Amino acid sequence: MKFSLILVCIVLAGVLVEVLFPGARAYQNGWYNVALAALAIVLAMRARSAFAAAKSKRVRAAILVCGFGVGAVAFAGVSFGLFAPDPQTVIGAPGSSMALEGLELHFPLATEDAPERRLQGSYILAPQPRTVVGVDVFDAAGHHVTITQPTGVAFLSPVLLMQATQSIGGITVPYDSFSVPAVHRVVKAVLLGPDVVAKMPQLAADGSAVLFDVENDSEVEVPHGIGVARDGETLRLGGLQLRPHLLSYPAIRVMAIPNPIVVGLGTLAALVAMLLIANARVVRIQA
Amino acid sequence: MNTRTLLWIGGVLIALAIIVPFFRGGTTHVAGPAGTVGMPAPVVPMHDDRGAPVSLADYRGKIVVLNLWASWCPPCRAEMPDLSRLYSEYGRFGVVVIGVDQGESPQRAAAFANSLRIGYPIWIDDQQRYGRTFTALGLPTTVFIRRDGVVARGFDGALTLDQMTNALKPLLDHS
Repeated sequence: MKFSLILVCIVLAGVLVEVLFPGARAYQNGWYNVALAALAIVLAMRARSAFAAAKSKRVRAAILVCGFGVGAVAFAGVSFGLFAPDPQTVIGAPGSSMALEGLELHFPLATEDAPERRLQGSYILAPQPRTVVGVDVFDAAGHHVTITQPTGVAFLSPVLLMQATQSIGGITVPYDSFSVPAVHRVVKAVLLGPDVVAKMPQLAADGSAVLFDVENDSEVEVPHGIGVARDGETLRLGGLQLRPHLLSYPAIRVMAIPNPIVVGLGTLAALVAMLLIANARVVRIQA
Repeated sequence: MNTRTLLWIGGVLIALAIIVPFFRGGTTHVAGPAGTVGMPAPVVPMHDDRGAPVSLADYRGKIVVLNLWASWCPPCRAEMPDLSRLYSEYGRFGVVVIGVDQGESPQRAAAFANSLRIGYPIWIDDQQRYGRTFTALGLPTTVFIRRDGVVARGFDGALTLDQMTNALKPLLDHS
């Protein structure tokens, strides 16, 4: 009986850890789920023998409830391991929405409105801060102009998500691009991290900065079209005034978990049943 | 139905409840303004071309035709006279057309609107927030909003006067 209770605890713990600490790759390994399934089968066999040997109806009912609870939890864990999608990080533009794995993901306009880590169905959604670059663009006369991202996630977003990377001088840096249709310009923006900026003493800056490369519609670089701007600094390049804002905006980490309701109720049922069984044994020993 | 059968049925239902969520797969971006139909139109405070504060909340109870545009956009320019006509013909039925300039300065937007003799309100969305929340795929983008503030129709691209009228009429009928 003690051995069976230990096995029950191992199975429950093996699934509960998937709910409480989601996202680990081990959960979807074959060996992990085979082990869970094997333990569940062994428990089922032991429960069947214990059920046949039990003398009181109360103990039999408790064994049944425990078996059902552990079985449901084990099934939830193995199903999750076999069928659940891998954890993934979703990057969205502020103000956009998308559907993923049956979930509705909304990216708020402002970072401060970003939701906390939360449970949605059989998924945990957790914010992951990322550095993005908001851009204000003005023409030579100082008038604000439209920017568009024809190849980006959101066409009319002035927030560059910096999803692509390229190598500059052996250093991998994030970059993005946008268009300024009113003045027929295409601008590439490269995010230079603090370590890269530190190697550029002429910037006389701490922290990150943004390198802009201005081209015309035919992808030909315009004269005096490359420059670096610090956060909030206005840079005059190629007939434009460019002002980057370095922002922290979260991506959403989507992590599947075993059905939390089934795991919760199954664990509760198993624990209550184990207490009843243990109590019945104590009473019998005392008797 | 005996206990064993009930247990089997219960077990199958629980198994389905566990497995089904993992099969609702795929990733889709809610593409374009049509994807916002049925949702409350976002209320984003901004200013008009004269600098006065404005908001969609001020137009609750009216049917709003919200048009996202910019002065560099040729289809926007082509469409604006028809929007102006729509505004004058249906204004008495509680219909308002609002032109929301995306990303440009008030001076540029006002000068452009005046050159076309546009009579409907012009708002300045310098941070392009409506463009983002309506997931505009391009310009112009037009959204028809019911009197209760819910998006009824969303269009990507220029509309003719007939298309605008056809989109508007069901909203008038339901009012």
